[in-house]
Amino acid sequence: MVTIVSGSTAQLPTGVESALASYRHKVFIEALQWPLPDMDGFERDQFDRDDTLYVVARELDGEVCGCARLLPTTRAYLLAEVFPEMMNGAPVPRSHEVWELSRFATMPVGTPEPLPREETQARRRQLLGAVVQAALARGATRLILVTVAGVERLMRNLGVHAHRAGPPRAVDGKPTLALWLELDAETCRALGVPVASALVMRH
Amino acid sequence: MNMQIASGLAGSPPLSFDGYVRLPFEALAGLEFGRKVAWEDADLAGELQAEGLPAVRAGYCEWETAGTTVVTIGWTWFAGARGSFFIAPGCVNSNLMLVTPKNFDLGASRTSELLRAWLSGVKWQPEVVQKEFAA
Repeated sequence: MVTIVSGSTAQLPTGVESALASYRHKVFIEALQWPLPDMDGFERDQFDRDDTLYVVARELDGEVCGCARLLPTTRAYLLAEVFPEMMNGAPVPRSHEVWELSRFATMPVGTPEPLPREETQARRRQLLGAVVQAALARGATRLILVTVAGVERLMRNLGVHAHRAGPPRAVDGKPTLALWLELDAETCRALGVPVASALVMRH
Repeated sequence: MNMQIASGLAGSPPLSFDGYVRLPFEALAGLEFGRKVAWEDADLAGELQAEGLPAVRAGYCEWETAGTTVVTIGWTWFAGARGSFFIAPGCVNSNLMLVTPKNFDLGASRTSELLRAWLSGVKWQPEVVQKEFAA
């Protein structure tokens, strides 16, 4: 059983932001070995700001077991600042209706054994559903994310409406691309998000 | 009907406002994919096995056109014990949205199915598989 909270740093319950930064360190720096700034066991960067929106999954005992980060594209964000060439010649998004999704993970860090495949899939679906709901509530109609090519397969397994913005390019030796996630009826149905929330938020 | 933004250089298909390149199915035959790469992913075969596929080896293929606006198609492949290559189910990804003769979208799922059908009619099986993705 997983519970999910979302909000800015100021809106998250006390202690969750630091637990989140610790979880991100374990996942992205220790396990996945991404070349990110290491701040004594915490992972944060210049995009962790007052207006950054977090979605955090926690076990019943409160331990963080999943996360996602949403950035408005009306201010500085990862794709625009670091990977604008991933847009296939199109301008980088700058819109209240487009948010960037990054730091998405459902990897457990407190258990020695990996989760069963079905449980992993269920947690991905639950967390991405919460991300979509949080984005829709802020007026988003689309998400953009920079990710590795294999994530397309995971998205397709979830049944959401995702499509690449351009071809993959090698980043730190891994095929990396920009991916659109449409917050439409197809995506909402796939994630169990009320379709009405997508339609209502757009009008 | 679909809106499109400027296409850049002559010869590049136009890019739509939503990031899709919209083409009819028949136009696929006219695209020149100047870049074709295939590489193996050591972890992927295990993931596909967990999904019930008889994958002994697995990896990715990427094809892309040249030009200002690139058409990109990528898919997951696997090879069974006899060495034949197959496209993994549900795994053809692209920035294409195929359209009807009257320029209406066929939808993401139908586009993926049609791209898979199109690939079944061309020789995509790689003669050389790299160990890593090459930029």
